[in-house]
Amino acid sequence: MNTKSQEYFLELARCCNFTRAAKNLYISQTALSKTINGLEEELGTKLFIRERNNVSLTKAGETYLQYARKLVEIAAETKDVIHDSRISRGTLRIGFPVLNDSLINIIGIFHKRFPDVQVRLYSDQVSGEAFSSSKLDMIMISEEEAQGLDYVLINRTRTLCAVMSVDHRLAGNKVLELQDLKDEQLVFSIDENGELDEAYQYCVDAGFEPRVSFLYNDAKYQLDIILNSEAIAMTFNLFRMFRESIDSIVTIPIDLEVGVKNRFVLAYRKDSRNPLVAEMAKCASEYMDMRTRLGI
Amino acid sequence: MEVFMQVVESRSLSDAAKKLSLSQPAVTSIVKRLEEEYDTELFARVGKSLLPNTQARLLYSMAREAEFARDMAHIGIRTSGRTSQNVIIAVDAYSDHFFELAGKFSKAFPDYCLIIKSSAFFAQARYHSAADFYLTYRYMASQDEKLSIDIKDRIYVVLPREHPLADRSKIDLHTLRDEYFVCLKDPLNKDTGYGATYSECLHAGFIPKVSVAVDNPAGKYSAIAAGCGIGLVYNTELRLAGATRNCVLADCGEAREKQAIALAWRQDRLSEPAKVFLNWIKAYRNGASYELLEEMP
Repeated sequence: MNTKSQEYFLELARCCNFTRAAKNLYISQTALSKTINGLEEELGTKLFIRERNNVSLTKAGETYLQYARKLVEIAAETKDVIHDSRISRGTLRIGFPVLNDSLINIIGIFHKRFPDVQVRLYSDQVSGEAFSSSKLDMIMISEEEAQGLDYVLINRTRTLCAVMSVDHRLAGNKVLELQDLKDEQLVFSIDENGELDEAYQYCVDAGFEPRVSFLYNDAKYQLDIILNSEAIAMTFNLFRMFRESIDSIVTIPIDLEVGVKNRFVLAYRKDSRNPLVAEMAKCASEYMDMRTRLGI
Repeated sequence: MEVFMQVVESRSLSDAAKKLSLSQPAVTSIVKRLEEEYDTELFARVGKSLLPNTQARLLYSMAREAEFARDMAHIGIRTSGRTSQNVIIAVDAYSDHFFELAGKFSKAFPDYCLIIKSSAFFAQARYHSAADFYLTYRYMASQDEKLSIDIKDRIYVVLPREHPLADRSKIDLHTLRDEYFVCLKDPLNKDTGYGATYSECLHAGFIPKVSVAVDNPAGKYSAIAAGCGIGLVYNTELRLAGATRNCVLADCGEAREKQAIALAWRQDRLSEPAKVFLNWIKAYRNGASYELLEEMP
């Protein structure tokens, strides 16, 4: 919004003198008079009565005075309003490979601070490579994949876990060995490239052929299968939210040599233009600090 | 076919060429060859992007089905040691009761593997699906053999336990008009972009404020439990919401959009394992006792 002519008009109306007004505006007198003439032409009426160098407002000029002020005020506020709204009413897009307690809790904290912001979660765009060309603002990936990006650590270790219904015979155990699952009904995923879950190979490496009772190609069915059957899923503890937030399901760590692989982070571009990215990163750091203080 | 699928996904010859590390003329000639092979045009050019027409979308869906069938053949063979019988079910309508049936069946038939697949997205291609069965809305399966499984006819609200309304067992939808909502995304719903519960709010006379939009039901209930807002669910999908810690459910009355959910199949395509699955479900519906069913061949 360009309000240059209104600003010149206001200054001239205030000074009632071309020389002084031009001086205050750091422009030449010619430039000022050209702009005022242009404005008068645009409005189709004279705004000033000119007497040599001194001027006074015409009746039309007096009426225009209040509108010129309004225009300048609106223009000045627009930038702030737009910026504020990107913070208070904006959108933040986050990609995540699997659901994670920490991420969801961080979004809970964020919502309390910015209730009118919409957070959009995408579970299908998950690689660091894809992030650079995506519309996502942030992404949950492994620390290794986050090279060149800024990030907040949100998950410390990565262990294989068995997920099962609370009614399952094995549900009371603190820890399991892969061998314990030898004769159990198991659930495995098929990824988007049509590949079978890597957990299948762990079983084979442990010396048994797993009993594959269920396969699914969309993570949203995993819980329905476990809740309604005796089948057990094997997954990394990114799925810990199942233990923490779903009563009918238990997650038991599997004692496995391959254990700790890498750490997960909430990553974002250094030069992100979305002001909410920094706010979400702040919530994430605070949440992780709180967890550390509480020793979780 | 891989090239064609990439063109459909990226809606541009040059982007597809870049992703596949091919030259653009190479991609163009492959698309042309396909158009000749199937004797049809496949794309309409709108501005800079290529829009797939009906035939292209059909071809794409069927190519996806073929791809899935191929992948499943590999996986099926690899896992056939202890579960040699495979039944594929494509799901596009959600039903707790169906998963309950699947769990019971699996217990009774230990050498079966049930493969739950997200559905083909193009209705016309669904009839040629890699799946043995599809769980779908009854009206969608008008030409198929089908068996009713569930009725979606009531709506419930999922509230975090600390919510002021959490002790109420019944809540009128309209009382929720000022709440923040956690909504499931539905890319197939061109009007709103959200699942059908969003439209229930519109019918109740308000536009819900969406605080979190997510593509996974477990994520939706976790976000509600974490205090991001409240959510709506149908009676056919209460199990997971009810199982989520810190969430409570309240009845919001009849759903505006009532749907019968059915299991549909093509009689001429039923595999032997699929017939066993179907017969078991039919017997179960007729009240055969669980123990008896377990002994079925």
